[in-house]
Amino acid sequence: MDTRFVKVLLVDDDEDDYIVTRDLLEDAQISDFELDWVSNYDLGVETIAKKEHQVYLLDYRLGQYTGLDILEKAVKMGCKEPFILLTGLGDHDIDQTAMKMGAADYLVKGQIDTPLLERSILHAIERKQAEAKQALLMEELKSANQELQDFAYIVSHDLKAPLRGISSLADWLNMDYIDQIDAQGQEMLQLIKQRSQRMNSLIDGILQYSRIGRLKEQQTEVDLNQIVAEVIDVLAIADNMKITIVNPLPTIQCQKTRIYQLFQNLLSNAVKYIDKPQGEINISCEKLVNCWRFEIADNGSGIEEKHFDKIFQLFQTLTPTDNAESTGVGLSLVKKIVEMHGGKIWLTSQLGLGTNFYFEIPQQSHNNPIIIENYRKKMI
Amino acid sequence: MESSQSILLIEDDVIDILAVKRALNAIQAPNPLFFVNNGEEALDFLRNENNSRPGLILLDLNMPRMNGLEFLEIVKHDRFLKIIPVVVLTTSQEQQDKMQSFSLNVAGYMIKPVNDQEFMQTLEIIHDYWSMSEVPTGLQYYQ
Amino acid sequence: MISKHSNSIIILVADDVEDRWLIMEEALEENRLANEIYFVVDGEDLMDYLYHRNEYENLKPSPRPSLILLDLNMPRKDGREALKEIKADPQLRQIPIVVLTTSQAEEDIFRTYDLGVSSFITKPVTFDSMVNILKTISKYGFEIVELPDQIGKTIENAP
Repeated sequence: MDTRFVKVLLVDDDEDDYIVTRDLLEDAQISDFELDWVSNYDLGVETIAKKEHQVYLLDYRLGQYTGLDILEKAVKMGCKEPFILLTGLGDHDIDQTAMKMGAADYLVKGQIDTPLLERSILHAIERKQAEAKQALLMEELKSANQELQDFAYIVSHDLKAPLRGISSLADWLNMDYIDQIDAQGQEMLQLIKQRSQRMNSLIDGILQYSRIGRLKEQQTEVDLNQIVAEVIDVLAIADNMKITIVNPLPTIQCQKTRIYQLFQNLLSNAVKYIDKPQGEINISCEKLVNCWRFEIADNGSGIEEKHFDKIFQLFQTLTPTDNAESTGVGLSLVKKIVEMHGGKIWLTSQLGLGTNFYFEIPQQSHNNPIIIENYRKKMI
Repeated sequence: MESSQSILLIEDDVIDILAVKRALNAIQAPNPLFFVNNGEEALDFLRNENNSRPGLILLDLNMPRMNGLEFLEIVKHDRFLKIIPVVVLTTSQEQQDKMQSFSLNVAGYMIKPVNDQEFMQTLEIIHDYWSMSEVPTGLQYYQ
Repeated sequence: MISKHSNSIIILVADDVEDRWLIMEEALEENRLANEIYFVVDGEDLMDYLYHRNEYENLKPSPRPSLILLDLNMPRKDGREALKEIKADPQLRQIPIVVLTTSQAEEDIFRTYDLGVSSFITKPVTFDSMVNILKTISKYGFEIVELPDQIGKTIENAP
């Protein structure tokens, strides 16, 4: 929007104030201002509804109404243009209320000069424009994200049907024609079977990954000691593995099933890559200023530093790809869950000695928009 | 359902047709099996006086021309056909599909198992259940 | 047996002969088929239960059943009338209903299917065959049938 010519509406019950404001704006250096003036609430609301101005100056005192009443009404009407409230000296409470209700600025009457007024108006307009642009971008990102998730979900379903067919046919060939197929042929059938199982796991992985975005869960108070105990119970680890909770875990605000999945994936991942006769996994936590930091340390095979980023990407594994169990979904799920909770995850590792995963969950958890770049790269 | 009553399978995927045939064979179900490839063909089959009315319909949802839900919508509002029990056999796990199917009075909604062994078990349970249930045979109560 | 449904399985039995309740309860328990079983004595009672009326008004919970086993011949309001009412209510019609009755009348079979029952099963005489029948019903109804999520939850918009 061009800010060299700006139409301004002043709502003020005092004609003298109008004249002062008009004179101030006439001296403006950067822009040409055209000032319209109405003197009461009803006319103010009526004029704002016509959407002919780029900015509104509201006097606080308007007979039985106040400038805040107009502000409230205008926001309700869906007015997108900025408001600047003109108040008296020392009206701090009113100033704060105005800002909370969405005013762009407040100016103290009697202390206004031309540069101040001009700068306030132009900043208000620019900020509104930037906000509108950002809102639009967010909306686009949200809808692209949604489409992508729906796409992944639908495609996965459609991919499953032919896969089931292939798998069944391999089974039946094996059952019905076993006498007529030599060893090499039987091995090929076995490979068909394995590959379709692997593809099935991959599709399940995509479904799981996209479901996390599709279904938002309510945040609740969750006792992590209980969650981790459940996870350990379900993992049913071998006797030579020991999982220790080093210090008591906190109760935090989070999405319960997601946090369960997070610990489940991190712990099963740790268990999977332990290559020592005696496996040791330690879970600990630390309270930082505005978040909890968790650490899961194992004495497994370790990861080279150059792979640190890769392991969090969808479908990236460091083991041969024909292993149906390891699909490269687990850690990307973990990362997504941590980021959904507004936190971050990283690791340190020494090859041959073990790996430490760290993640932080903010106390005041907020739903950040999910960053989908990696996902997009993989899908399209 | 008596052993002489037939089962009508409405399914477009040849492999799934084969799977049902194999499963019914494996559990030695004596009921004759007929199959058609979509809802339209099914309606033609059911309305053809030369065919005896099946004791049970196994219905896929995702089919060309006339899908399973469209077929149900017609059959369950047809006063001659609505009494035939219909069991949905599908890959769809969508809530929407389940709700709509049960609203149209299906007598079961099964997800097709991936594994051949489980497919057979599912068909066995369906068959056991329907062998135990009475299904309408006579036509004398139509008014 | 582990059910694939996360909701607990609730069976509602409508039968006027209370002696049979015990048999059914035992048969269901023997198979560990349901988490909860509720009994009502006739069609009137059945509708009260489903709509949370009269003695069920303050009785919490009278949870929405996953399955109704319905006898046909009952006093006050018989199974046929109750069936008609349930199937005419868009909130209730998705609950699967299995007719479990001593009647073998072809007309009953026809009429109940016409109204939309899931199936029609003739009530056995012995305890063992009751166990078997309930086992088959449960295998079918709870192991392989996928119910919509709403079934198993309390009815919220009952009139």
